[in-house]
Parts: sequence; C-alpha cells; structure tokens
Amino acid sequence: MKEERLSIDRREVLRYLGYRKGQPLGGVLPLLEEAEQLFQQLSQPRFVTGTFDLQKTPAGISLVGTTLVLPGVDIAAHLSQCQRGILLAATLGLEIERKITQLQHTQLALSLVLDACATAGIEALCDQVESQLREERAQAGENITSRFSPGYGDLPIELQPAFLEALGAPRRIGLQSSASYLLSPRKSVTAVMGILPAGVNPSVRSCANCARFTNCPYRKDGKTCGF
Amino acid sequence: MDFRNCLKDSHILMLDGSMGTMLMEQGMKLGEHPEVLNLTAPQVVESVHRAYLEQGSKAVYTNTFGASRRKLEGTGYTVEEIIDAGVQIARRAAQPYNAFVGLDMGPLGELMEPMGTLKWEEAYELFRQQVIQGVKSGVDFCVIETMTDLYEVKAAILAVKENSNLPILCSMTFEDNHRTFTGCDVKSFAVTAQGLGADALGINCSLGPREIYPIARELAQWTTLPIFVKPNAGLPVVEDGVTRYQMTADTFSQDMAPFFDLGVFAVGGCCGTNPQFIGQLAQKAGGICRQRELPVIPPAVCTPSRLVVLDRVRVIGERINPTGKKRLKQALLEGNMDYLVGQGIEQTEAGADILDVNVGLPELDQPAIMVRAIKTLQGVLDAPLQIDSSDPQVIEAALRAYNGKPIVNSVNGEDQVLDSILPLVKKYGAAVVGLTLDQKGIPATAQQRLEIAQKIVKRAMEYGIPKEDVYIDCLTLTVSAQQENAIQTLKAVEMVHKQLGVKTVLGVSNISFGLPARETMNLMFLSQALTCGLDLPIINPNATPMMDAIAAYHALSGADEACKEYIDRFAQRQMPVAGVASPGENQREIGYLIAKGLGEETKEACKQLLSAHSELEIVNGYLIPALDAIGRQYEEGKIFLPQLIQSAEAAKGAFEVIKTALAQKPGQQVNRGKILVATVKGDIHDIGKNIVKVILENYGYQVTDLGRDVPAEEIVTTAREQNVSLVGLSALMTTTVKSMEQTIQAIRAAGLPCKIMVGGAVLTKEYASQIGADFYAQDAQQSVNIAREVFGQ
Repeated sequence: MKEERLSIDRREVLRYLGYRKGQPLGGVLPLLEEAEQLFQQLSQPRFVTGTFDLQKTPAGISLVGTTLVLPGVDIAAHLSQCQRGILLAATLGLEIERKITQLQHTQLALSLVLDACATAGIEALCDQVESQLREERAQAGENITSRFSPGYGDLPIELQPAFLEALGAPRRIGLQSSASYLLSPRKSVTAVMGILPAGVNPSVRSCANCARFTNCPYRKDGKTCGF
Repeated sequence: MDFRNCLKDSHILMLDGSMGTMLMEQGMKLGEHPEVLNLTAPQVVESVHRAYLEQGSKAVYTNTFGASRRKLEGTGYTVEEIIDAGVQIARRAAQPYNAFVGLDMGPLGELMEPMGTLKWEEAYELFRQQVIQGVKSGVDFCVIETMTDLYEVKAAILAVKENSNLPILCSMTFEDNHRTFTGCDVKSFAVTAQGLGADALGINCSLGPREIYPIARELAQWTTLPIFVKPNAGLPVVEDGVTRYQMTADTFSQDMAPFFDLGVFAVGGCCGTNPQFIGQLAQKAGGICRQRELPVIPPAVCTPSRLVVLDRVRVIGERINPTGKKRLKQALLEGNMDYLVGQGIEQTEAGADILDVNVGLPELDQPAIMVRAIKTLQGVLDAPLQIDSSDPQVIEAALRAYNGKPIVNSVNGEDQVLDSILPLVKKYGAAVVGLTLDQKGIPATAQQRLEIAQKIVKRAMEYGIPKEDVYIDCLTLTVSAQQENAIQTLKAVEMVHKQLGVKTVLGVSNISFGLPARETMNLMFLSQALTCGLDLPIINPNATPMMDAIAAYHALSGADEACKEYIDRFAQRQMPVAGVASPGENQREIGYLIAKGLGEETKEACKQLLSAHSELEIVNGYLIPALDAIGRQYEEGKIFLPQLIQSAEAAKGAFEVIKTALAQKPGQQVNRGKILVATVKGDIHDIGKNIVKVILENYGYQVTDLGRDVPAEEIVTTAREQNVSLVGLSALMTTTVKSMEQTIQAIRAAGLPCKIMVGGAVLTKEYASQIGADFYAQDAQQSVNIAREVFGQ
C-alpha cells in the first residue's frame, strides 16, 4: 500500500530536536521549512497490514497461519482482551535516508532536522494507518489497541525477521531487518495492534506504551514530553 | 538440449508460476521457510513442479529462492542439503517432460552497504555457496530473481560467472515509477547486467502484466539480450485483513499478449499465479514465432539510479586526484574520506556528470584505499565514476567494488597494457579510456595517434568490448613546452571522432601549465577541442567560465533545444556577494558570524584575519572562544542542537581556510590530539557521531572517522597504527550496545593505552561504565570536555 502524502506536525519535529515548549526558533526556522519540503519530496510512505487470529500458547501469543509467536508478559497484557490482532509494517523508503546521509557531508544541521522530520513522519504514517483501521473496525462495533512494537517492554527485537516475513514486507514494501535487527530503511516501524471486542476500551497513551520509551530524552531527565 | 538454444529459439519458452502461492494453498504458514519442504515434504514440492509442467512449463525454477546461509540459519539444514534436495525434486519432475531446471536464487534478505550492513564481499560468498551446490547437483541454468539492489545483482552474477558455466537469467522487481525499492533504474539494470555477462534479463514480481508492460518495453530498448517477464497476478488487495491477488487465469493471459509483440523469449508468473495461469498462457504463447528488432544502445555509463548517456558533451570532474593537491593528499594519508566526498559533492554541484577518482599515492595500500574511496563516494553521490589507475590490481579491485557501469582510465597502445587490462574491462562490463601513446611515447603527429587509437579499438573489440565503450584520449601536452603539439592534439581528436567514430576524452587544463592567465588558455583550448568533436572533457567543473563555454557549445550545436538551458543558466546567476568583515572588527565579527551560523561569511572573515594573524592565533584566539561561548549557551539550554551544529558548520568552514593555508607550510598542523570515532559494528546510525566529529575538529583535534558498522578489529588496528589516545564509540540501539561492549573489550585486550568515550540514545552514565567505557558523552558538547580532560587544555 502507498500513502500519497503525509502531514507532519512541526511541534513533533521540534520535540525530537530537543526543543521545549515556547522556545524561540531563531535561525532554525528556514532549516525547518527546507527540511519539511525535502520530506514531502523524498518520503515514499508504504505499509502492509495483515489480520490474524491470536492463540495463547506456552511460548507466547501465536498468530495463526504464521510462524510468529509473541513472547513475554508485556504483549500478553497488551493483547489480553483480544482474539484477533493486526500486524503492521510501515516505511518511508530509502530516498529520504539517502538524502539524510548526503546532507551529513554538506549541511549537517539540515540533515539533523530532516532526520527529525522523518522520525515524525513515520510516526504520522503509523497514526494514519492506525486511525484508518480503527474506523474500519468501528463499523463492526469493535476497537483496536494502541501499537506495540518489538523492542518495547520485554517483547524481543529479535522477532523482526519473522514479523516482516509474516507480512511479506521485504517483497511488498522493501522493508528488511539487518543481522543486528535494525530495520532498513531506518525510518520504519513494525507493530501489532489487538482487535478489541465491542464494549472494551483501549488503554490510554502513556510513557509505557510510547514508541520512544527506551530512548526518550525527557524520560532520562525524569520528565515527560507532555504529549 | 543445451538451455542456451532456448535463448535463440523462435518459440517462446514457458517458465513456471509461483511456488510460494501453491505451497501456501497446501497449508504452509506465512514466515515459514518454503525451502525446508525440499527435505520435509519433497512430494508436495514435486507435485507443484509437476502441475506446472503438465500445464506446459518447459523450464522450472528449483524451490531454493531463499536457500542462502543467513536465511536458513536456525532451520537446522545446510544450504547444500536444501539445494541438492531441491534440484533432485525438480529433476525428477522435469525429466518426463524433457524440461529444464534452473537454480533459483532470490535476494539475501538484508540490505546491502552503503545503506545497509551486508558487505558486497559477504553477499558474493553467500551466492557462491549456492552456485557451487547448484553446479554439483546438476542444474541447466541459474536464475537471479526478485532483486531490488543492483549491487546484489552484481554479486550474484559474478558468483555464477566465476564458479560455473551456467547461463544466467536475471530479473529485478520494479515499482510503477520504473525503479526498484532501492532506487535502481531499469536502464541502469539493463546496461550493468548485460555488461557483467547475464544471458537474459527480465522483470518479475511486484506488479501485474499491465503495470510491468511499460517497464519491459523500456528494458527492451536498453538491452540486446533476450528478455523475459514473470508478473504477479495483478496488484494485491486487502479484504477483511487478508491479502489476495485479483486476476484470473483468463485476464492474466490476455494481459500477457502485448509481451509477445515485444519479442520476449520467455514468460511465466510470480506471486498469485497457479498452474491454470500457466496453462492458459502456454496456449496463447504456443503458436507464436517471436521476433524482436534489437535496439542500438547508445554509449552510456551509470550508477544504479543514474544513467549518463554520452549523447552530448559530458564533463568529467578532475579534482579527486592527489597530484599537486596537498589537502587531498593529506586527507588520503589520514584516511579522511570526508574530504574526498566533499570534493565529489562540490564537483557534481558545479555540473560534473562523471567523477574521475585517482588515489595514487605510493605510500598507501592502493587497492584498499581505492575500494574505500569508491564505496564511500557511491554511498553519497549518484554520479558515475572513472577509475583512474594504470595498475591492473587496483583496477580490478575498483571494478569489483563499483556499483553500475564505470569507466576505466586507462589503457594505451602497449600490448602488455592492453592484454592485462582489457580482459578486466570486458569481464566487469566497463567502458575504457585509451591513451594514444605506446612504448615509444607520445607520437608527434595526429596520424600516428590515430593509428594507436585504431589499434586500441581493434584490440578492445577482439576482447568483446563494444566499440562504443572505448573512449580515446589524444593527450594534451603543455603548449609552452611543446607548442607544435597543441594543433596535433586537436587534429587527432577530429580524426578519431570522424574516422574512427568513437567517443573522445581529453584532459584540458594541462595545456596551460607554466603560463600566466591559465583560464584564458584553457578556455580557448576547450572551445577548439569541442569543435573538433571532443565528447568528454576532463576539467575542474568549479571553473565557471569552462562550464559556461560548454553550455554555449550545447546551444550552438543544437543539443540544447531553443537555448533553454543556456538562458536558464544565466538567469539564475547571482552576482558574488562582497566580503562582510572589515579589518579591525574581525574579533567581534567572526564570533558573531559563527554564532549566527553564517558559513560563507565566516570563511571570508577568516581569510581576512589571516592577513594579520597566524593560523594558530586565529584558532586559539578567535575560533575556540567563539565555539566555547556557543557551547555554554547550548549547555544552558538557551540554544538547541540544530543551532549548535549550524555554528559548528560555520566554524568548520573557517577551519578549512586554516587547513588549506597550513598545507602550504610543511610540518605545520593544528593538532591538539588524535581521536578516532566510529559507529560500532551492526549499527548504521551515524548522525550523532558525525556531530561529535565536527565539533571536535573545530576544537583542533585530529579526528579519524571510520564511519558506521565498523568491526572491532578495524577500530583496534587503526587506533594502534595511528597511535590514538581517545576513541569515541557510538551505538543507538540496545542490540548494538552489545557490539559496543565487545569493541571495548577488544581495545582493552589489545592492550592499547587509549581512553574510550561512548555515546548514543540508549546509553546512560551507569550503563557506559558497566560496559567498560572511561567516559560517557551525553551530547556532542560534552565530548569536547572529555577531550580536554584527556589531552589537557
């Protein structure tokens, strides 16, 4: 699947760059504008999703029809009320990554801002897909949980290859995992969402289920981003 | 029958349909290794082959698409077992039908360098292992399919060519923008894969017949090899969370009809197709006598994403050559590839189409440094490269490492040179520059130079190199020393152009050596040479008048239709900005300029300061205090990272001015200490590391940057060789912090006396000391404090 256009929230980009609320932008505004333009030109948002029945096994939650089993207590809690789940793999493609790399040699500051735009962009893509899925499910009276990715809590990042294969992501959107389980292209996400039966509400967004949980600079300082 | 006959046969060869789709129908799970079924359920695999053969397939692909070592890890089976079983199954099925069996090789499943971490050499080894077993088990041909990375295609083709005599069918997977996921263009695929010696080129997977047709038509225009297609059963749709392919066997075979008119030699199906599809397609293809009018391929060189056709004057940038360039020489000796990349970017931005790469310094390991230079440049730039060396060893190393179709610069008329280098040019599918000289030197007359050119072209063709891939250099001599020669060179260019009909190349700037007003002389000589038919001037593209002259030539010759490019070129031209800083105000001025991140202005101010101060005075009295002030603001949270970097970049420009000035004074350098930085093995995140590097360099430290995904051994070796006192390691992911820990252990085990600082998103102070680091750098500014602690103020 392809998304033609993604809109990114400038406040998000600034947040990734370490700005606090109300700080003056100074000379960074032109950089931000240029990076946003580059982002629109170069990002190639693509995603695949797949819906599977979930089955509790001693090794973890199994996605029926695939080899994927999700071990650990955190994912079990996240999907505790779900009989079915949706896998998502999404990427912004290699072009933007190539530009980020190239700019590191010529305009490092712009490269950094573009990198932050891409981080905001992949999150925006996932949000967009998630809300589409939520709408679809709402028609059946159902809801979905927030996204949970390999590497969150005790869900091992080593799942990436099996996760991607279960969706055919390498062939269909060009998304691969490296020997050390880094996704490439870099600006990519894999996640699972549970389908909640009618009448059950998803848990609220908090630090514990945030994508930046492991490397959030605010959390390191003992603060929150206020999102 | 030999499979090669099918390539020439007038009947269309029926390939098979999807193996995966059929195995899934029989209950294979998503994510399962289909290849394992060769051993656990051979009868199922055989029944799929047989179903296709019954429907008319005359060649089947073995069930070995993902049978590479890395992909099979954890299955408990070896590559050899899986491939041997796969070939035997296919053989058993094919024999009654007298059909061919092809060893199927798909992508290795990891992104390759430079964007990913899989090295080209590793990829080659992985394919090699598969090919060797395929040969042993007895296949008729090799299939390289569903590829998205041209570099991986190159590794696979060479693995087949160097380890077998099997014919190669090679197909890539394109998106509807005619590019693969990695950005490879269909033209570059055609030109590169044909050059490397594939026997047929194709397109498979990703799209249906309708969407693939225009891409196949483009492919057919850019290769004289037989072509084939294996489309999917249309585009996938998601229904109730499940992905399905929409087309029926009927619509598929209808949509395949246009390919017959294109003259394809073979057809089949990919994802979503089944024996019914193949049956209907075989009926349609049955009576057809294929015909294809072969295209005339224009001379061209390429990288995966960019093909440069030599249909007009193309500029080769000459700057990456250490001869007479002290800064570049120093950068190469220090292993500072960044400087090289900077030179490359500057030239392409100035309009160079191709970049000459010469790293000829006798004190260096030349094949290794050439490979590193090529890989680094290709990681950043998409301009094709010209490999500039006369050493066959350096040339071969470079040809292997290059992604696309390069130029080799050069051979000459000597037999021994021709016979050692032309076979390499042929094997790797490159173009080659032939210098019109031989063991007797450079002939005095144009006629004699033409004769050498004729010899070179003839010999190249004997080696199987197409004539259009030979570019002749009639050699520029200095007019002040050998005046009569200038006219002979121009005459020779004209004769080669007209009589031999090959492309010509010429290093232009040498004409004016030792004369005043060199630009005037260069410009005149260039203009005359262009009129004589010069196609590829090797010049400094930063010399604007030269580039302007070429633009004018294109307008005059009609290559620039309606003079549009010429008009645009000058419409955009801005008058140069006058320097801002006036003497006397420099101290306030340069600090202010750095704080505002004004790069060009900072450089100008630095140049002005040089008239009254020594280099070291400027560094210690102006640049470092300015950076300290900005660093404090950053630490106090008054400015943020992008501003810190903007200032650092501005200061870096000033440092370049200082370094260029110092390079003229032997023995003098700004060096407050040697630091090595690297992103550890397995990790490809390097913005953080690059920020640290720029900031440390600005403080006068000499920083060696080994890049990203750097093995521990390389860090240890370099730290030892360069006698480094501080090593900075970066890792962004939890998984790669392990690799950081191993690197630290390796440095300690080697007994190196250096200190180690680490940084990266997931690290903390505690974590850093736990893995054995001496320092934790929370941000780039802190790395400066650490360096000061290690080296003293």
